[in-house]
Amino acid sequence: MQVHSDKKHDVYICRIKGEINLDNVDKLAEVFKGAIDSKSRKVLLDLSGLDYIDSAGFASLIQFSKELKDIDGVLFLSGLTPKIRSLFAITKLEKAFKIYDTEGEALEDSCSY
Amino acid sequence: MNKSRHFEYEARVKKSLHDLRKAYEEIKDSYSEMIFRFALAAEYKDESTGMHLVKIADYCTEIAQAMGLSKQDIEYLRYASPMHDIGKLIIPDEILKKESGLTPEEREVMKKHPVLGADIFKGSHSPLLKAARVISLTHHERYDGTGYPSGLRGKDIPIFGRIVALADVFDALTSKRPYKEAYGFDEAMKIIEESSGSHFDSDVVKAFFKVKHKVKRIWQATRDIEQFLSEQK
Repeated sequence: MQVHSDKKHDVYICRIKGEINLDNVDKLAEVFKGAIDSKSRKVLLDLSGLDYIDSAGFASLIQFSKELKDIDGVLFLSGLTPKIRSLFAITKLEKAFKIYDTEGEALEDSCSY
Repeated sequence: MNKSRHFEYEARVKKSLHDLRKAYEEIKDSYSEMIFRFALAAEYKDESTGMHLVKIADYCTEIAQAMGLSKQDIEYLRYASPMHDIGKLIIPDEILKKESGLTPEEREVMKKHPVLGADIFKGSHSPLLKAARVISLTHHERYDGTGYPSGLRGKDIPIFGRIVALADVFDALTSKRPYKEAYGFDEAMKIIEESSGSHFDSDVVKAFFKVKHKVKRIWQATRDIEQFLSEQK
């Protein structure tokens, strides 16, 4: 898994490539900690380069989403490939996240939060 | 060929290769997406959750890695294992959704789902769909030969079937059903251990215990997800 972090206006962006799985969720937790420490209350995960996400990965996203919510933050997801979207659909997590087709759409909508 | 034309030619070949790889990845992703959505249809019919599919894929992946299967086989197993119950799509609802116990005749109909599922993939040339066929057909076989539909014994049962059999039972044990509570993690592991060499291949059980810490994290992660989903309702 590779993560490239960036910031646009008040949104902290993490572009994730590869897999999110049991073997690297601890690394991802560090990335999420960095996002929270950045004081940004809006975090966007661009998943257009994501190849797979397992149950540990989903649990990690949920945990991060809760932590953000606790500090009045918002999590946005963008760029899910149809395969990744189908994984969100079968786990019934599709409705639990703010999902956008593109990073641009997510950034645009983030202004209303 | 002069130098500049050579570079131009090389760049074109590189681009073609890149486009080919991209197209291959897109086709592979479409297959995987189709498989997940198709498997979900069977889960909906069975009124269970899609989490079962993700758990099966995760447990199978860990076991396969611990057993030293090739990267390619691990990938096939990850994407094809959620298809194990696809044959249930063809089982009549009045049997599949029956809440009280099944009659012996109904049980026989239910036991046809591995063959019905395998028939769906019969004749496919895709290695992934061939794996799905093997998994559907053999995930209810038992190592001691008392399983179904063919009563295969020992290593005659394909490795994919032997792995999915354990993952499927472990998930069934640790999941709540209308007729039973979920077993705890240690209790379920004990049952798996006691079935080593009878229901399950002892090599698969050994691999499962080798990655017990990872299995426990998957088990915990899926419980957290299910808890979160129930809070969302």
